[in-house]
Amino acid sequence: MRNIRKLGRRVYFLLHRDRLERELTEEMEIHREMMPPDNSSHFGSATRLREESREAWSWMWLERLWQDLSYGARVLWRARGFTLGAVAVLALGVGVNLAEFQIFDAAIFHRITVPDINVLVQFTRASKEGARLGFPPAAVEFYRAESSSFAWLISEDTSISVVVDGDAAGQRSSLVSSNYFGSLRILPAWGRLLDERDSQPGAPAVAVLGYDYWQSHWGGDPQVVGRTVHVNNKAVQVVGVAPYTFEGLSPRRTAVWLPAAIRPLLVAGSPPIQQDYSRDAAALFGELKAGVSRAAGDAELTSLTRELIRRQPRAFRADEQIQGNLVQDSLSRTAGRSPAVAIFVVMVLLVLFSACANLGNMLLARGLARQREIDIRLAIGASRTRIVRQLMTENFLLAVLGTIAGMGFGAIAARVLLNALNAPRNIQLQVSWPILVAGVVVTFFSAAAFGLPAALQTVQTVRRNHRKLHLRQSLVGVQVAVSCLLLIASAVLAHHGILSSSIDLKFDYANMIVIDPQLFARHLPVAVALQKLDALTTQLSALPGVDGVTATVIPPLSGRIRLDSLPGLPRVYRNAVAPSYFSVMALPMVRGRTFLPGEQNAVIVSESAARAVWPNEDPVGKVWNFAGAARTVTGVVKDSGANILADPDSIEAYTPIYGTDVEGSALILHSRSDPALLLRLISNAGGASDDALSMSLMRASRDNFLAAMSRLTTLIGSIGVVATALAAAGMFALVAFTVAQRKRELGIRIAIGGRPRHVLGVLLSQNVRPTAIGIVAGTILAVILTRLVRSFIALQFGDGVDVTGFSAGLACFALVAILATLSPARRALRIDPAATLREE
Amino acid sequence: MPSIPMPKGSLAMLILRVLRSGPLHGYAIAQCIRQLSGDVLGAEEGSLYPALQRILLEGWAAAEWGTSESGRRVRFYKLTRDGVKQLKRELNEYEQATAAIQAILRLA
Repeated sequence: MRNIRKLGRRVYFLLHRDRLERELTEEMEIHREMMPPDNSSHFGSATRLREESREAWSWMWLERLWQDLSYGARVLWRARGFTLGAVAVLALGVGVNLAEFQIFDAAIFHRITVPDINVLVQFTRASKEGARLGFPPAAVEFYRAESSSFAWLISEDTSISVVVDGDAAGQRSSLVSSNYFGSLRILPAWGRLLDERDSQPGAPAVAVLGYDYWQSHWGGDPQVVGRTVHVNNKAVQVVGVAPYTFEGLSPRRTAVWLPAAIRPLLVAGSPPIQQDYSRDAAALFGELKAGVSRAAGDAELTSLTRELIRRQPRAFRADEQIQGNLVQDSLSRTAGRSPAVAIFVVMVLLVLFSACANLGNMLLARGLARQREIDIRLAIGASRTRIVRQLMTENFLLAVLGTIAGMGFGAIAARVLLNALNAPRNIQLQVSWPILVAGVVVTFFSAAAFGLPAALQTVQTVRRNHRKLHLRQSLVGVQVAVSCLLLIASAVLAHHGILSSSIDLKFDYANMIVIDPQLFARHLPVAVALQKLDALTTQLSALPGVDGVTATVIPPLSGRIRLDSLPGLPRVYRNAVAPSYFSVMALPMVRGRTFLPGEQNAVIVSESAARAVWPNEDPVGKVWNFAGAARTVTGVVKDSGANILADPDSIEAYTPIYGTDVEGSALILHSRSDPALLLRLISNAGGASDDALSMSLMRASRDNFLAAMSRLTTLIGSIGVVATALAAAGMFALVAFTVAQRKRELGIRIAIGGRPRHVLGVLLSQNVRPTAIGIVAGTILAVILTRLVRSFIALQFGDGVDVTGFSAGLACFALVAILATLSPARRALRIDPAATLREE
Repeated sequence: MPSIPMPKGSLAMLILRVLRSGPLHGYAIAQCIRQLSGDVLGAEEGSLYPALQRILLEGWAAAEWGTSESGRRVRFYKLTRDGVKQLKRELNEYEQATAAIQAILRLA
């Protein structure tokens, strides 16, 4: 408190220094005049006295800080090896944090490269039954025409895949409102983007290509602008290419951008968009006019919706409210809830912690090396505070260097990592202020938190070595624990990745194509849809080289999934399949039979399901309450293995396709040879029957599925690599400093005939205990971490501890530790006793 | 004339001691110190002022312009509560130190 008042007076003086100095001069003048004339020379030099007075007020501490800084800089410069090591350790710890945070920041907040992303609002339809994001196209048109609160409203419909130029697999399309690109202020890479004229009645059909699709399918040829392509067998003119930074507002890559009004042309039987209330497919985004609150915008859209409900009661729920949410807010909420993000944050913080422990250890060892210098300074009257301040100034300098190096390393690491992750191009790294500030704060905090104990220990004279040893040993323990934890985590995930990729799929996925006729998009009556599905099956079966075609709602390895959680059972992967499914997939019936045509209340279970639901009993003929009906089990089939990829504990059950499942069905085609050769033939068959077929190779889906896993392993592995580097540096420093510190003792031991084994024993004995404790702690933490990981990834080794992964991680740590201590240990053995004694 | 070098900080203590009896201006402080301590200020009466500035900075005294008994414009220094405390503390320390030294001298 007193110091604050003193500082206040100092600042007051600084601000009023002219007046106060004038007053002082005046005062001294008066004093001189008051003195008897013969004595007036006794006053002393007024100028010098004024100088001295000013010094009382001056900012002396600044000058002292400068002295400390320049002294510190000289010290660090003289000990370049130490400085380099400490800065490298800090840079690794801080850099890996900065890199990971940059990537998260980019992936979460800068994914959508839109100029106005921070004011972009996405609308939700909230009702008692829950919220949904899709609006009927007609409602979007109505809002756009009638609302007045918004600078603009745009829509984006990514629900259909299209076939472009009969080319192999279906492409992701995005049907957008005519003002979409203009409002988002996106500029074309080539040609022009879609605008109002493309939505005029009678306007020619046009398309804009996505940059990636253009690169991969058109070889990046700008001549594509003006060309006519066939989208779902309809001639459409390409007018431009979207920039590579923009892939749409939805988190999936768009291959072809089309005007929303084009839909009736592409999908037979669709009404014009002004009257299309049939699908809730368009995501609605907007920007409020300046000065209009979000609540007012919501209220206006909600009242417009009331009007729509009056006109089209079937398309809406009666209590529907429209709510706008800032796109960025919902993005960050999602990220904040994600356990994956939380675990990464914990892991990178652990790396930082390990780096700090490392730094603390190095500082402590360095303090030991400077013991003589410090003892002398203490002896000639330096106060402990003064020396601690000097040591902390050096740490401060180290932190400055560490921050700079860390930022450089972080920027490079972030780029390398993004490449390794094969991230989408619209993820842009931006060095934002919060990240920079966080980096600086983190570095200085670590330098202070770990430098201070080291500095305090250094000036301790009483029982000095004993306590110092304790601090050092606990720092070693921390490092070892963190390194073990990260290495084990990396090894476990890598092991999981290897196991996943070697999972034995019981069906011949390499020769299978999934063909989606997208009947759901056409709103056909069940009977008509069934007829179309059957006709297509027959048509495709007749193609040369086709072994069989069958229908299923959830093609294995596709993006679709139906999960049932039943009490007391593992998760059930449910599928609706045609009777021929099991023969085409070559999944043998173990017991019973497949479905009969037209059979509805039947269920077929996998062997694992049979074991889980009816242990030691024959399930065939049993009645099971499953998927909303009492179903008779007609058969037991071999496990397919597809579910095991995602979830090793799960079981499978199949129901027949009927009712609404018909329009959701896709076909699986098994080919006798390379299925890629069949793609064009299939596409032509679809063209003949006016169907928009979307195709994918099952082997590609499997690879995609595994790629996600390998990305996770890459990320954690990268943290593991840094942790290993830190562990190696830590172990190296530890043994090297022990050697330096006990050189004399070791020399004497060698001189009196100590064998290498004894010398090594002396070296290692003081580090064995903390290392052992660290390894145990790290292993326990790793068990906890894998449990957490298991809550969002079903690991391939069930609930037990992955012994292979754990041993691999620990073995890796042991190897690193041995390699790191090898060179200083060798130096210890080569100590020349005579030379050592001469030095003293 | 030669004078004994004064221990650091003792001038400030003397000033505080002089101010205990009431507010004084710079010249009066110098006079009082001369009366109390002979010629401690020695040849340099002006060295009073850096010490006074330090006292102001520490908040032990406050300064205020006024008129002297002879009608001149002068600055009066007045002890603050912090100053009283500081004086007490310093006198205590001084007494302890003196007592210790005397004890040693008596033993010798």
